[in-house]
Amino acid sequence: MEVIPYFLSGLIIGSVYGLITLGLSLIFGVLRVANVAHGSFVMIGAYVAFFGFTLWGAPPPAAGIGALALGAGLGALVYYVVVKPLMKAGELNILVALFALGLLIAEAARMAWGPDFRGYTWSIGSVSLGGLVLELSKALGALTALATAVGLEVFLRRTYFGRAVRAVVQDPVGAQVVGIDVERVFLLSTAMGVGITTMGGVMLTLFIPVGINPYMGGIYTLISFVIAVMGGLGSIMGAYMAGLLFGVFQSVGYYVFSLMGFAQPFEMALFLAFVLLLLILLFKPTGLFRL
Amino acid sequence: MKPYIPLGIYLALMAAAFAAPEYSKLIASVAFFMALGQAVNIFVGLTRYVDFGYVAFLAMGAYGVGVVLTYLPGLGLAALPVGIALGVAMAAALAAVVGAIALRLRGAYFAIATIGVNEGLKHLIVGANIWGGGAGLILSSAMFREFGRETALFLSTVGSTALILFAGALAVVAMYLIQSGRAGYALAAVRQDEDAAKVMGINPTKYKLLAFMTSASLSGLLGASYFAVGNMQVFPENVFFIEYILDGMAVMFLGGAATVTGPIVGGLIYYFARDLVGQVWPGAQALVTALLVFIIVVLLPRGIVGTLRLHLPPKAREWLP
Repeated sequence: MEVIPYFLSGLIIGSVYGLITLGLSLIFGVLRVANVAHGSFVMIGAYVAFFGFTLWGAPPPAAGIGALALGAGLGALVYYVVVKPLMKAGELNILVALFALGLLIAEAARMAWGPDFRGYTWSIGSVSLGGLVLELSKALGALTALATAVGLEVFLRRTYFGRAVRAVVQDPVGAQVVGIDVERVFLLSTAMGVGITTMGGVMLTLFIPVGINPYMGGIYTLISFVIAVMGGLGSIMGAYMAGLLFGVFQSVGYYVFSLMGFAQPFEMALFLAFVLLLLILLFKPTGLFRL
Repeated sequence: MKPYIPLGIYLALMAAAFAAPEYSKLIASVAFFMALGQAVNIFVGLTRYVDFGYVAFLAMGAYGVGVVLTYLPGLGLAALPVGIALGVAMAAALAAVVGAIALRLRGAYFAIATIGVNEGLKHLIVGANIWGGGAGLILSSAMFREFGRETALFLSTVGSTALILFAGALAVVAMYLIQSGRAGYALAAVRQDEDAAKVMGINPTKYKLLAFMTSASLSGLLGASYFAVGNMQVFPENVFFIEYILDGMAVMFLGGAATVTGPIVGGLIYYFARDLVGQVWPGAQALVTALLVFIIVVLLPRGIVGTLRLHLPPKAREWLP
């Protein structure tokens, strides 16, 4: 079975796709805002990993923690500068402002760090698994993603703040009536969401050895939205599971398309991602999972 | 509402392009932004939905002309109208498919559904290697062969400019017809309260789809005129360039969403602002564009014409739609 290694490597990268999508789904669930600047925060995380590693020799797990903190700060800023002032002006204005913000960040990154593709390699050995040579760094990235998803889910179920978040998701007005500070929930959710996204950007760099560049975010905005919709927008575990599914889909799709003789199998897999998005929105806009 | 001032501006620019062909490229660059804002406005301004895959309509238009010129040799001058018709039809068909699926959804879901349209189609063309794949279609030799050298050069300069201006003028007429008719009232009702509009017997999806397909067709015409006829080439990286949707929305918001004169004012300011930035700080145009959109959306959500209209007496407002 030649397809098994593709399946396994799909699961591994899918775990990180899930991680990247958690923040998007959290922010949508709580604020009902589609963060179309999402990919730019992934890109920032990737640069944190790159500069952390090449300038200070910081291993990606350390960069991940740094990116989480940086992203949380950026998220708070986004909330105060974009989301809060525009909440009343309506959805169109928020979406357009966020879209512009995403391009603004990408352009600023290009001016600061140049348009070149960059990358680094962090080698900590590898194991052989079902015909797949798995680098331990990738396995670590996938495990971090899993731990974050589970941690976030536990946090939302077991802590006071987590319950407050879920209350706001269910009914913002009702939550306010029972004394929950809705605005604080909005702020902290945006900060956490963007923080996790930037951290996801760090873990992603373990999979793209030379793929760090200012415009890399666009494709991850698309992938994350496909995954978030698959998992049911706003659902945390749904987003993670859908990430796994998407990883497998992409990896096996790549294998099948190259068997079929397409010159650019990766491009075709991305096209299918977009078709999938439309199909799910058409037939099952609430997502594939009940979680 | 009297659309004579905006129409007059487009006609005057067209006359200028014919009278002074050496300026036609400049006029085309300004008019491209005006017409793009005008087309975007018909959908985004009238429905308050935002389509992040909008650039695909420009691309469909450009590929329509490109495909006819490349794969149907021997049509002569007829290749131009046939190509433009194909491009407009492909743009309208794409809008019909995406709209039929996604326009039933609320704003945020629609926006999400459209995020992949542009990239998805680009990946299809590059990945499956159709219509020239990643290498694109180069049309200059086909245009020289079909039209003759002199005519081809004329078409790519003055002809393309006139077509772009025609698209803009057509968008003014379309906006006027939609707003002054039944559809305009229906869309206004849907904008204010979709559920209430439904109860009153309006089918929101039908009118949103009408605005979407009209807007898409005009963008198809614009893409065909600007890229295929004007530049004599169609490269996926060019025609699917995501920033055009930001350009279109910048022009629309700058002038005033849902106003008819707005995109003309917005397009003029936008072009010269970008030009100035390009001279003072080369390479920073996109940065400044994004910043500009951001500032307008946050601080001046009605735009210039929209704000001006608030302070005009009703008689004068009629003339500045």
